[in-house]
Amino acid sequence: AASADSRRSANQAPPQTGYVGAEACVTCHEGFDSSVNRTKHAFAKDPRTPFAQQGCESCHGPGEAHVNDPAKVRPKNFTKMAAKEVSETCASCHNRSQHVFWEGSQHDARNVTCTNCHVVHRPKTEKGLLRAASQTETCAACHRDKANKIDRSGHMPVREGKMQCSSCHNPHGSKNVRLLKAGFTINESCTSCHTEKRGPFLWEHAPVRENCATCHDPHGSSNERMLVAKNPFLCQRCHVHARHPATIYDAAVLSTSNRVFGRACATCHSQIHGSNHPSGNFLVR
Amino acid sequence: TLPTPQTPMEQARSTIGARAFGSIDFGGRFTDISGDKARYQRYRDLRDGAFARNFLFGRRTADWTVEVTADNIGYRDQKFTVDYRQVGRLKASFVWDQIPLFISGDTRTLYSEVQPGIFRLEDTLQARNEAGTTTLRDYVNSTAGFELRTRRDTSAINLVYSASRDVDLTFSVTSAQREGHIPYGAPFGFNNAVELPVPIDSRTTDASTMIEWANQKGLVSVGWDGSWYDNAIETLIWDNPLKINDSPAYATAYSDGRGPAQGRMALWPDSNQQYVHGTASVVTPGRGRLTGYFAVGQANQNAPLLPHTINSQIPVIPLERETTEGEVRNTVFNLQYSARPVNQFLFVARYRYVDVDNRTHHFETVGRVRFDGVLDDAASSPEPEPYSVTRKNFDADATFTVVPAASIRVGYSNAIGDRTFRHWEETTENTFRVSFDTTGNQVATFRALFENSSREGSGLDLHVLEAVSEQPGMRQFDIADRDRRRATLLATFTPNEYVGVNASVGVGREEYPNSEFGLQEFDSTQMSLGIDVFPNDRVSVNAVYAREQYDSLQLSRTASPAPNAQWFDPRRNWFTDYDGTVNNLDVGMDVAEIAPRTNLRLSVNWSDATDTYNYVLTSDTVLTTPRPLAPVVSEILRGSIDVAHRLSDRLQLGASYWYENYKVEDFALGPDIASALVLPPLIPGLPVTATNTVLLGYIYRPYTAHTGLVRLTYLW
Repeated sequence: AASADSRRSANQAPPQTGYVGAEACVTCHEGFDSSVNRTKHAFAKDPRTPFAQQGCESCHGPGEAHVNDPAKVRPKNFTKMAAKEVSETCASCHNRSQHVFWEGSQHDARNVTCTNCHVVHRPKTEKGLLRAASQTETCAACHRDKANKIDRSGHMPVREGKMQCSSCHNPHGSKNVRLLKAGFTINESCTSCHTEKRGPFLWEHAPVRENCATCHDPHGSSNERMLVAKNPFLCQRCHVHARHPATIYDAAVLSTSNRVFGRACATCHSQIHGSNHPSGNFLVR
Repeated sequence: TLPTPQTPMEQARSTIGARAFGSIDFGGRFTDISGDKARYQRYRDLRDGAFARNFLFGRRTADWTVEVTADNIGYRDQKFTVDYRQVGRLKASFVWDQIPLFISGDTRTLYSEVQPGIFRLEDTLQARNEAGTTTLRDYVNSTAGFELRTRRDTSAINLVYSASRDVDLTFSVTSAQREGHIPYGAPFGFNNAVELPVPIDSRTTDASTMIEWANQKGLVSVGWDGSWYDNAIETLIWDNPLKINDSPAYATAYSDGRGPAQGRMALWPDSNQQYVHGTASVVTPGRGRLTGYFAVGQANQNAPLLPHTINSQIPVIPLERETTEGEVRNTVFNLQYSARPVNQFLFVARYRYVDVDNRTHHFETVGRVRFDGVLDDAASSPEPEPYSVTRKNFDADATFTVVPAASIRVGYSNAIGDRTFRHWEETTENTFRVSFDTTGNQVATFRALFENSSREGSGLDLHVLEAVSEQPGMRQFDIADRDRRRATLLATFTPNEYVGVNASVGVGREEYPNSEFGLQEFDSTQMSLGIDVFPNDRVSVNAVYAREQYDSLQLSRTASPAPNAQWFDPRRNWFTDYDGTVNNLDVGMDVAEIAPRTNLRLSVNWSDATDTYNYVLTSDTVLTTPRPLAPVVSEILRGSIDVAHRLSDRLQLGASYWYENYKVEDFALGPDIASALVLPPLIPGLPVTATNTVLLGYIYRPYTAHTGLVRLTYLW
């Protein structure tokens, strides 16, 4: 591995008063330079990285006093700092793009900080420098109920590795609700992939326009198409119309009624997300 | 002693300035599945054969980096990526990702897709059924089997050009092509349900660009997002299995399919959406930041409208216009202020305005045709209701750090929703919350949250309910008056480097106090207990058990419409009492150097869900006592063993075994029921009781699967 000093480039800021340089740090903290060197933090030619500035001391603070008296003067130790101080240190560089809405976000407001999920020196993932081996594992530390839903029979391709939590969410804050990454509403987040349901349709179904999560649980469900309840019971939560919507579909009619077997109501009302047929107001055309 | 970093996370990756790095896994795989091979493979391709995956090739210098990856090469779930970075100047990436969705391997149909979206039956089948000389059951052996699957192929290019230390230009294009078939309902009447493998052939193209200036004092960005959805098959046409000739309109859709010889449905129309948006953020005194963004956008859909019916015996109903002329205008505005004037206090206030204004032109209906068979006049034909909603949200939170590493947050939210064509013109929800969090302590973490919210509607529009023969006391639960309470607790305890314990509890309750009908209440409870053990440097064990419980109660009334006395008779009320329980267990163990140069990894995952739906009648009921439905059970047990032995510094021999067992009992989608309806019956000998229904045989079936892999991993 190249030494920390050898990575110093013309872009790198000259040492300032109180700073000793990374070479001095690794004299005692052996191995930490090579661990950083495997990350983008070490790209000294990128003026936004710590190694384009003061190296280790960009994050851990000036080290001269610590070198002079290691026992009494400690550098910044991120595992022992207050959450807000950790966030401020990282946000001094990570202040754009996906981090714009960090301050005041749901996580920030509850003193969740960068080092709860990320670790620069001992990451278990290349992307994101996560503490845990996967995003799911990282998020599950607090959101266990959501992570467990991925194991249900109806689920997004998360456990197959084709999606991860950050496919939909930006844990650093977002323009959308619930830290959703795409769009400005829950529906826009969902229709960023399920575009066929975006509409607008000639005939709309009110709850579809309101919120996809009214009927679907995007984290997983035991029901067909990740519905929050099985059909026809889900539909009957709103449809108490005369005749067939408010009928008891019990075991006696199970084998003969297409309103309960198969996909129940959606067997006929297949255009449940909206119809573009001029006679489509019952969402069957 | 000073802590030292562990082994780098990925051995193949090198350090800056070093030689090229890379790795590849290759070997052979064998899969044995008894039962539902589709559900086991769902989003992956586990066919037998040779495989190459986890390919990585890269090089990092101080000036540039490049990295190429490939996974599951040659299989349906293959993925390729290329990343190039000119350090400090340019980031460019390309992704090709295939996501398969294997829906069913056992589906069968009588139909032939003669053109994309056009499904035909043998004329003799239709003619004989219409004449009554045969029924559908006579054709159960004429069905053709096929696999039901789709695949989404996504390609994406992302570019970020750093024009200076503070300015970035970003550009991205993503194109997602989706092809295949999905099960889809296509009915001719209440007792003539048909299920078809509806073709999917569509492409979504998204493009966006943005310029962003940011430094430690603030940020300004301006961008544009565009999205286009193009569907190659916008019309579905299919034969009626009970008719060969069109018939004139009949009076009711409570029929066995009299009327049309074929049906026609409008599938998903082309659409597009554009946004222009801007964001500004500035650091303010008192360690504060003021951030605002504004976006205006428009979604359009102007697909040609089909005629009202394909039934030649029904008079043509004139269309008010030839295309949809659908248009939604979106306006989004957000302003947020956060400040930490002192270390012990954080204040956040946010106002959010989202207007979804559906401006789809009024569509005057002068009649309609239900199921291509029932003609209604103008008086019986409602007009479309373009739903619009305007949401105005205000949130304020104050976080107090009362003692070091412990904070209390109190917060308030007010959410107002203005809607068109809903039974409430406006809803207002007030939420109060308090949370307590300890952080910064490596031994123990405790997080607690309590939230109480109340939603009320105003401006009741009973016509919305009456127009669809709905009980006037019913309230649609997504906007109904609601009281909601929620509490969560999360605790972790790590007394030393050898063991860590974590536990969580979540309790929630929703009540709908003013809903005479519909959803009445919903309760949820989740709890988990986990432990991580690291007895020595070589071994780690973790286990998490979780249990969830859900209960809901909804109220309905079986009745003929008013003025029939049934409509007002509470003795005809009935409840659906739902109870759901889920148990989840995850266990994992890693053992390094279990034998010389050999590592072992074990994992077990178990998820067991049981749902029961019970009908409950009133004590003075006049309804027939329902026969209870069997519980719906879904249990998945997965286990895996992986052994890796280092043959040399560059070569590793590995073997894996995956076991998966799925048990399912579903009264609506199980073979016991569907076999009587699908053609042919899956279980020979069962009676074909519903002769007018043609399903695909897409059902839930259990499976037991074994997959074994032997691989060589080569590092360079």
